[in-house]
Amino acid sequence: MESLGLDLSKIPIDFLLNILNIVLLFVIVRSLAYKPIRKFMDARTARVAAEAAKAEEKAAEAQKVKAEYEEKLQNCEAETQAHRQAARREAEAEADAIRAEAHAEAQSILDDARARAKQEHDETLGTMQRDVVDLAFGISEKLLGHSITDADTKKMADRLFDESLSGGKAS
Amino acid sequence: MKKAKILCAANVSDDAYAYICERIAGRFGAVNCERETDESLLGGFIVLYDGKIYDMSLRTQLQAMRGSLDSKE
Repeated sequence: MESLGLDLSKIPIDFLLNILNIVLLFVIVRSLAYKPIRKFMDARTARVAAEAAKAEEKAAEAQKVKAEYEEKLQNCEAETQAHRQAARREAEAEADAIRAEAHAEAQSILDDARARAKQEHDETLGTMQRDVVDLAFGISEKLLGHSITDADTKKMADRLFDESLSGGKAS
Repeated sequence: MKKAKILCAANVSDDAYAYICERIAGRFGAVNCERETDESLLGGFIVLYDGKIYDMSLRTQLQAMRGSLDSKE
C-alpha cells in the first residue's frame, strides 16, 4: 500500500469496489445463511416460548402445590388445635373424676372416723356407767351390810309372810 | 315334821332369827328350823322349805336393782 497519505483519485473506485464487495457478500450470506439462521432463530424463539410456557406451567403448578400445602398446613393447625382442645377437655374430665373420687373417699374416711368415734364414745360411756354402778353397789353393800338392824330383818320377814306369801296362818 | 333351812346374814341376831322361825311356823305350821350363816347375803335371810326358796337377802335385792339399772342403759 502506498504511503499513508491517501490518494484521492483512487478512493472512489476502491470505495465502490468495497461497497460492491459488501453488497455481494450480503447477498451471498443472505441467500446462504438467512433461511437457516431464520429457521434457527424461529426454533430458538419457539424453544424459548416453550420453555417460558413450561416455566409458567411449572410456576402455576408450584403455586398450586404451595396452595395445597398451605391448605394442608392450615388443616393441620386446625386438627392440632382440635386435638389439643379434645385432649384438654379429656384431661379436665379426668381431673374432675379424680377430684370427685378423692372427695368421695375423703367423705367416706370422715364418716368412718365419725362412726368409730361415736362407737368409742358409747363404749366408754357404757364402761363408765358400769363402773359407776359397780362403785355405787359396792358402797351400798358395805353401808347397808353394816347398818341393817334386827328391826329391818323383822320387817323383811313380815314382808315375806304378809305380802309375798299373801299372809294368813299356814294350813 | 318338815324341815326348813334358814340362811342368815352375819348381822342377823338370835332374836331376829327367832322371829323368822315364829313367822314360818305361823305360815306353814310346825316346822323344824335349821340356821346357817352366809356372809355373802350382806343382810336379810333366805328360807329353803318344801323345795322352794324364799329369798329376802340384801344381796339379791341389790342385784335386782342393778339388773333394772343395766336394762335401762
